[in-house]
Amino acid sequence: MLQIINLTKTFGSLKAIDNLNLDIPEGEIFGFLGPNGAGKTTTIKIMCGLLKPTEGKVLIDGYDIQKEPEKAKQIIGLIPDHPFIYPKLTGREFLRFIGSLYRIPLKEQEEKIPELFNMFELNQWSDDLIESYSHGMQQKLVMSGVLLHNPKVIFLDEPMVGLDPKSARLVKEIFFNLSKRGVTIFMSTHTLEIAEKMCHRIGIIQTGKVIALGSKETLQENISPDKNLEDIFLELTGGTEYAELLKYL
Amino acid sequence: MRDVILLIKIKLKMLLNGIRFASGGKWIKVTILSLIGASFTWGLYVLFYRILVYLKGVPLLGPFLIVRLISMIFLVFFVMLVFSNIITAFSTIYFSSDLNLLLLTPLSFRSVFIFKFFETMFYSNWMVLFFLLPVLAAYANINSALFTFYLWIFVALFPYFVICTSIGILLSVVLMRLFPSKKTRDIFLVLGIVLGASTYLLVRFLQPEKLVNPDVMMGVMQYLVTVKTPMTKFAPSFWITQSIVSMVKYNLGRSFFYLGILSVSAFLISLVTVLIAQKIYYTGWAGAQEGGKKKKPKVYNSKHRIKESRFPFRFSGPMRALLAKDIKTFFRETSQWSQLLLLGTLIIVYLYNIYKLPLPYFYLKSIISFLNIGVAGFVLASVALRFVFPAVSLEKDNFWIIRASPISVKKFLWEKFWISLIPLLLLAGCLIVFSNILLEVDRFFMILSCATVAILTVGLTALGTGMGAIFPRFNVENIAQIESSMGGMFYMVFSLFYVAVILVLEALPVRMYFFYKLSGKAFFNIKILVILGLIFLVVNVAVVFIPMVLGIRKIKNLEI
Repeated sequence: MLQIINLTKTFGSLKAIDNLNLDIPEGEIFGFLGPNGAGKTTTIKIMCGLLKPTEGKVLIDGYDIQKEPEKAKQIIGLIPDHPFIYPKLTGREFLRFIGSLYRIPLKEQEEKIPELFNMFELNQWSDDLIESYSHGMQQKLVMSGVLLHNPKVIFLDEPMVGLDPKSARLVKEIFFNLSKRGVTIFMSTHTLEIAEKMCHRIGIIQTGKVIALGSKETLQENISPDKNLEDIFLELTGGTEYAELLKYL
Repeated sequence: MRDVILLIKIKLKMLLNGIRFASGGKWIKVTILSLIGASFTWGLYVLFYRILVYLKGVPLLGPFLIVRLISMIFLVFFVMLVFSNIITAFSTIYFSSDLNLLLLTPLSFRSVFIFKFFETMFYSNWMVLFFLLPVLAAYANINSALFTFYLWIFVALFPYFVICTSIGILLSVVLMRLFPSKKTRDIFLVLGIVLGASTYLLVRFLQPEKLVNPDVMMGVMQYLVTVKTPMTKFAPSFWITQSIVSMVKYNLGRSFFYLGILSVSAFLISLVTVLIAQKIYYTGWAGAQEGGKKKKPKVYNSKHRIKESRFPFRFSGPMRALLAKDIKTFFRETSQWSQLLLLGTLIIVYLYNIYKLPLPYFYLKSIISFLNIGVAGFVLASVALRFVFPAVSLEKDNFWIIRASPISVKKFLWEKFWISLIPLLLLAGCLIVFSNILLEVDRFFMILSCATVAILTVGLTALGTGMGAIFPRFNVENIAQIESSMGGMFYMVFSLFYVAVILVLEALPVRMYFFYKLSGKAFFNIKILVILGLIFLVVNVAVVFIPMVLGIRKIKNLEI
């Protein structure tokens, strides 16, 4: 469903992504982990067509995001970590806007929008301007926008930031169910516990290169069988060296 | 006070860093703006010098009239500055983005408030200072003032500005305590625009050009002499006038006396402002951060759906969604729609100027009618700079939604073109049709000018939309930064050049027509007309399509 082939991205002399290759099948929840500045958001932005790759390509259900952007974008949904959305529209107007951009029939919009508001408990604020929404509410509205057009692939960049525990649980359930229905989910996160519980496979990226790839069990087998994902992550990305320093604090 | 100095130092550091890390483009922009500013200041100096020389020559009344004029300038600025300080204070003291950080630190509210006081004072008064300096320099020059007088200007202006800022801030603090909402700021923003537009209309309708006539001028002077304004003695404008006028005459005692009154008043009112703010500022600020009251969920009725599905016009779903979104956001953003008030004023003054033009001869009327096309083009270019050029940039941080959606960049940019073209065509139609009626032009000229202005509108809209996409500025806080950007300047240069080219291309055929009208003989050279027509076509096609194609290409390659 999602193929990343020889993807490289440079910003001046900095190589943000270095010959990345991934193949993610339909219905998989893929966790993309890495320290700050490793290239996670850059990869997601390239996959969504917000950045151009320096080399390589991204295929979404066979469509090259650079060569056939409209067809590829019709089947993807992006939930960024900082969801900037038009502050002078109401929540309902925003969803109508998204629905029309993705050519969802008006009747279908009329049916789905109230359902989404109900599901995310945004009913009370649906006709208020978005500028009065909290970060979590805006995040839920963007998720509603993505779910409205039934994408085949969803990109999540730190999806749980700003969500209360109840909403976070709901979001997890939603993505589990979507994955069961064949939707591919590509998730970048720093919350290793979420990655551990939700993802079928995990990729760890550092300085633009994938340094580990596989299911949680595979990673444990290959790296250290008695360690959890957090320990493996820190071992691979060099986080353990801080332990000595922390003793002095 | 140590904290306030620290905050001011940081602000200065930011300013210096802005200069240190400025790009080449920014230096060019600053140089161009400085040159324009310097020319304006020089022009103002020359104008006031002439006025003052003229007034000084009036027997007996001359010096008196000069003092009255300076006093009036200070009075008018006093009112304007108080209002401008109220509006600026809303932004700096209540809605500035750095407040969340500053009020999180252990700094006292008083320190933050005093720092914001100086910030407001700087933003509100610097432009007035640039206006007052050439005026007072002209006054100093006609009186052959000593060098110390120029220093005195700064010494006297400081407490004058402190008083204006204190009153403005005090009013805004009280208003925000009573009505802690963003709406209060919006209401004052609109009131400010209405005040500015009304003053502009009033000045225009007073027909200042009549002052050129010596008989009328004498009448005005007599009026100024007879008008009694006893209240003025208690206004800061009177004190500063007296202090400056006395200094030019080297009457030190009187000058220091009024400076003393001014300074003591400034100290007292700023002290009162700080003391009151200490009590009520936090409550007002905290209230302003809160959203509106939560309402009951609305029932979404079918009428709304029908209205939306038909509106606007018969565009495709995504195109219609973009149009509806742009229209809604425009009319919900006070800083956007309120500009329409200024636009209305501009049209009224434009038509009034044409109405008042003395055009006794056919020849003169013909030339003015032809040049009117150019003036209308210039007005449209300026309006497009304000409303069309920023269209892409105004997507701001929300642009990721468009880029991640399946709508093509081409459709997105053409939507921006159409949504700008329709209102701009209406404006162009109003300007040219009504001005032509006032100029009593014939049918041929009415058709020619209407067609030309319609074509110019299409060209200017495409130029504005395309260049706005070529030079996008997504990370700006206000629209003025988009207009005054490098791209904005390029747009203005190109658009004025385009209007000039169109006028030049039409000049010869129009000349042929006027000769025909005057002599009754046909002077039409078909060969030249065809060549000019072809060039006209090529220029317009190029102006419409080249910026749009380049704009589409730029957005396609834009990395966000």
